[in-house]
Amino acid sequence: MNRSISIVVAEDEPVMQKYLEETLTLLGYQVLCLVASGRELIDRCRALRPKLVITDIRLPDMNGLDAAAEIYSIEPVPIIVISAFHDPEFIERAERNHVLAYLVKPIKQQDLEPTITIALSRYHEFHTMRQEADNLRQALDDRKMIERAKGLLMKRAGLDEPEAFRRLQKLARDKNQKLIEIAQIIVTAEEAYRKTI
Amino acid sequence: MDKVNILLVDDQPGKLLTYEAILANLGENLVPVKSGREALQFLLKEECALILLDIVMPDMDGFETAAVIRQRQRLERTPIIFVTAYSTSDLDRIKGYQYGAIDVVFAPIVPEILRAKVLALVELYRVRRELAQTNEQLLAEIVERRRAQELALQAERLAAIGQMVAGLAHESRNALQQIQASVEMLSRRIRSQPESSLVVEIQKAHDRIHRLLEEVRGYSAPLKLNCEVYDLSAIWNEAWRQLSAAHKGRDVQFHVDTGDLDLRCLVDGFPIERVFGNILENSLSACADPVRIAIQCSAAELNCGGAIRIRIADNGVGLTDEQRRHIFEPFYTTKTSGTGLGMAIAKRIVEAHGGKIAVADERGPGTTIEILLPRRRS
Repeated sequence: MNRSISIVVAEDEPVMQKYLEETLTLLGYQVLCLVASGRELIDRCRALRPKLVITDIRLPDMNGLDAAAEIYSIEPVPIIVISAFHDPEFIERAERNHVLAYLVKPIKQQDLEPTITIALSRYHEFHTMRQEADNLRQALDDRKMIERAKGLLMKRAGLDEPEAFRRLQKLARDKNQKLIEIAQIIVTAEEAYRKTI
Repeated sequence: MDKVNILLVDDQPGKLLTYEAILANLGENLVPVKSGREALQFLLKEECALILLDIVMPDMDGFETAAVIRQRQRLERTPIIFVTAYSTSDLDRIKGYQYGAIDVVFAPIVPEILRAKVLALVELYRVRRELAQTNEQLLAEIVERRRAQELALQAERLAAIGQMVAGLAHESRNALQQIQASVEMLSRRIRSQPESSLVVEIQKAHDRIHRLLEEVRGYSAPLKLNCEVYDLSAIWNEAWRQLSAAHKGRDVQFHVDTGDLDLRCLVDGFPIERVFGNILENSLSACADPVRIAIQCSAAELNCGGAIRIRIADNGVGLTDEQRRHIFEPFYTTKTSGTGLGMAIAKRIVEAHGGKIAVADERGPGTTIEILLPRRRS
């Protein structure tokens, strides 16, 4: 596990600030900054782009869960909240607000350590899955574009489907371009023609 | 309307027949007997609306019979009509009986008068009986209402305590967190010094307060169940595993006998695990090695639905009658550590699932806790 992970911490209690800074550093994480309010937390996250956010739910100016939602909307990041409340409503809200872990006070180093590890790896998994989904969506879009280009070739040049596809492949090879790029050019050209006519 | 008994007592069969003839059209149940003794035998087993009693009888006369009848509390108010010929000495003695509903008819009997008197007394009896029933019902209602009021009051008190405890728990967690943070930082700084053992003690005390607080909070917080279908054996196995610190290294046998019973049940796994955990924990602390804990399951019925009966038996010291009575009450404990909430919590959770929990009745060594859990599955 990569331990030089940067963290921003929001906590208004001086003893807890000190404790979290000391403990996280001891665990090998890099505490980028410690703030005491939700506003500061959002600002610092926007500027510093940490790899992990840890926040108390009760902050002097706002609810840590609201801050978490705002931070997540700027850029997705794993968020761990710490709270003295144990209410199901809070925990449910935390889940909705992309919070990856919910720690109930009093927390110890032995709670903090696995929670962070699990939160990070879960976030990593989640991130990978989202990337895969994006790739699949892209592949699907590409496929549609190629189909359209193929259809145009069949109509314009009187080719059957395998011939049209082979011509696309040959063009890509000859021009040293990707199949999807050739397909886009053909579809664009068709649009250009249609507009002049 | 059901018939009432009218007891006719006379040593002369002819007179009995006369009474029967006179009273037949009242439509009640006439019981003719030939002596005071027979009358008493009948009254031992049966109720009657009134007694028509001849005064002059051999062996045991009417007054004697009446006196014995009056001794019984149940018959204190049963009306007696004496039948007598006009005789002053009899009348004097009747005056001595001027309590309760005693009446006199003089022979020769005028049928209309006897019938009217009997009818009036039968009606009185009916009204009185009805009244007694109504009274009983009212009394039961009052008792029931008082019980409901007490329950409501208790629930209210519990809710208030619950709210207070929730607030207390929240504030205390912040304070505990500061202790925890400070203790941890302190222990890092003085790790190799002799004073570090003091920090360990502070940490232990902190953990104890924390646990106590969570137990009390858990007991007073409203219980919201998230039910899913679970195999109960998976739940008690997990509970057993969680207790490994308490049984590791000891001579312990954990025996499960479920036959071929389907153990799937619609429950909230986490609180039910707590129920098993609390019971097993008690067993482990009540038993000296070698510990034998046995879980036995059988099919049962609860409120017309399928249920599972789970019996958890140990070979420990068992419970006294006193302990049996109070085991499910909050803050009742026989252990030197612990909150005394374990079994109260267990009861609360089982009942929230529509189930029942009790100490099984059998005597002998050890304790057996019996749980009935409805399957609640279609």
